[in-house]
Amino acid sequence: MSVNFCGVELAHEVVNASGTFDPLAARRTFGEVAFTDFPFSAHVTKTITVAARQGNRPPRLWEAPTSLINSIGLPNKGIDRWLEEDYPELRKLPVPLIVNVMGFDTDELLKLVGVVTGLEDVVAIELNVSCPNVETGTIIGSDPDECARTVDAVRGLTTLPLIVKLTPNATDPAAVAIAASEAGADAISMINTLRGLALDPATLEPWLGGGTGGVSGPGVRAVALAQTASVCAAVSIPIIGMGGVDSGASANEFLAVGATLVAVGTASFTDPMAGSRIAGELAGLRQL
Amino acid sequence: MSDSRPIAPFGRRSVSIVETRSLGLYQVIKVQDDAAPLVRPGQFHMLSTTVGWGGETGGRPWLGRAISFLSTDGAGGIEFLVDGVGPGTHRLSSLKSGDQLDLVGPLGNGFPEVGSSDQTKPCLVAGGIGLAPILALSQRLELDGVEHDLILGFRNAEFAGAARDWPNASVSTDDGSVGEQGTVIAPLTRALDSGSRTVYACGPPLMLEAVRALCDETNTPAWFAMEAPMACGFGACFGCAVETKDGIVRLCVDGPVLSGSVLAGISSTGRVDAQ
Ligand SMILES: Cc1cc2nc3c(=O)[nH]c(=O)nc-3n(C[C@H](O)[C@H](O)[C@H](O)COP(=O)(O)OP(=O)(O)OC[C@H]3O[C@@H](n4cnc5c(N)ncnc54)[C@H](O)[C@@H]3O)c2cc1C
Ligand SMILES: Cc1cc2nc3c(=O)[nH]c(=O)nc-3n(C[C@H](O)[C@H](O)[C@H](O)COP(=O)(O)O)c2cc1C
Ligand code: FES
Repeated sequence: MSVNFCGVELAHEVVNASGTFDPLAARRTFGEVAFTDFPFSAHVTKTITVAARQGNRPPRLWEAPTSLINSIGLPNKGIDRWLEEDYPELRKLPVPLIVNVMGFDTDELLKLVGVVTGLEDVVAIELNVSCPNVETGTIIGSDPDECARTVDAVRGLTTLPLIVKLTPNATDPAAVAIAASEAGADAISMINTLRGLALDPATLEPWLGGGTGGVSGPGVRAVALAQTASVCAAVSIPIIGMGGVDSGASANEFLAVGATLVAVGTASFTDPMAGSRIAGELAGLRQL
Repeated sequence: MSDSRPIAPFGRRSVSIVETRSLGLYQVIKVQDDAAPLVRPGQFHMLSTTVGWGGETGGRPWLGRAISFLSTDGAGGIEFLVDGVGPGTHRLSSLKSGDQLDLVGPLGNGFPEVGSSDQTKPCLVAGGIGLAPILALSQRLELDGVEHDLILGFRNAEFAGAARDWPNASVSTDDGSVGEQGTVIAPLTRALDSGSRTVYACGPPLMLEAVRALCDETNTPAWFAMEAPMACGFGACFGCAVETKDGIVRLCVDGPVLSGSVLAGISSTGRVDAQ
């Protein structure tokens, strides 16, 4: 069902979660059909930083009951190479782009938002605030004041909708959402992954190269749904709900608690076309 | 990097098991997959069973499991070879004819094309379950009439039972119970001395590293089908990172076959070696 998100008309409610679907790698594997039949109504990019990042040392994955713990570490080529190599290709997608960025300080964030805001086919910017403020060490997204300052710093730079992606690892995500909204955020997306720890069964030492990791998948859905419901009740801006969505029925739950869009992440790993299936199932449910 | 790789149908599909049998201590499962008749040796699929996947004791297996193919009839009949090392591979090994399998693939690059006119005699080396892509390549070379060496290493006679259908292979076992005692390195050294020139290898990290070091020393071009833990198999999760001289690559899309020239060393990317 077509839906209006911050003034942008999207073909249906299902987008991909940042960092869980790479259209360029999918095209190498599945051919042009991965573009022409793109499963989502908008493409949210993996988090882009100013400098290139290698990501964390392996191992990066741990399979837990109906969930995945990852410590990927935001590998990406940095904004300059993204702009040169990936953006011209991503523009060929039949859907609009939402660019997810993360700055480790205000200057970085200003640079990222400044570059992205002028780009054609980019309809919104998503701020990944699940990173520490290098000056204070606080995870920006876990603290209402830090989050408000961050949104405030970039708000004047762009007229594009600014989406703030909340971390569930905050004491009170609704308070962070209110602060972001008051500072001028146009939308909230949530949840990012929940902090989790996997131990090597043989040594009982941390398994993942990054120490702890982020938990995603159906196992986190109840937490995501509760947090989404409380944030939807607290702010009036649109919400992109996510966390363990793997069917039209589970997507519909996020819409029921007030989300405008639903993002699908881990479910794409087991089926690259999960997004299309979920959008189809959702349309069926909404027609009833 | 070859981008003429066979392209996979988009999405996950269900196929029927048409036959199962054991090969040494491994299990062969054959499916009929009409949607993707072409696969290249070294490519793999992400497999899960339609029934009994997820929600078992301990909640695993849940994500798909990366499995290379052992043989193909070129018309969608594909055999997989499974070594039961954990919940996913045990579940796959328990499949019977008529059961349904969900798969995504073929994935990854596969071994580079070996032309029959190549002057460099291929030498294929496998250790343990590394057998599958190597035997797939051997089958392809035989069809193309390319003469090659085939060197297979196993832990012991029980595992070496998997080599029974390849009488021309030189077999070694760690305990000497079948074939030559020791690793694949001695027969590989002899093959290189007698004119074998390009090496294609798959096996446990320790073996691959020994083969890599030998090829490096002797300036022998080599291709390695490698393993890393994988969640998606098509470049979506960035979980299958492997370090190369050119930086970290995603093994599922940039591999699983990597040239020895980009590898400084091969180590296990999981903490416990599945072998
Ligand atoms: C490209 C490629 C091709 C392959 N081809 C074949 C093939 O042809 N045949 C074949 O049999 N195998 C093949 N493998 C290996 C196969 O994918 C693995 O053995 C399989 O995924 C193991 O799953 P499991 O559930 O049986 O075992 P797991 O329990 O997943 O155990 C395997 C290893 O994973 C680690 N581990 C343990 N628990 C966890 C956990 N909770 N989360 C994450 N890791 C854990 C440990 O290191 C363990 O030794 C291939 C792998 C790759 C990458
Ligand atoms: C492997 C992996 C990589 C991710 N990378 C990013 C990222 O780069 N940026 C980001 O904002 N979120 C990232 N996420 C979080 C997802 O976008 C999403 O918020 C989370 O996984 C919950 O949704 P899911 O349960 O549907 O996967 C990642 C998640 C996973 C599993
Ligand atoms: S397994 Fe997901 S990127 Fe390679």
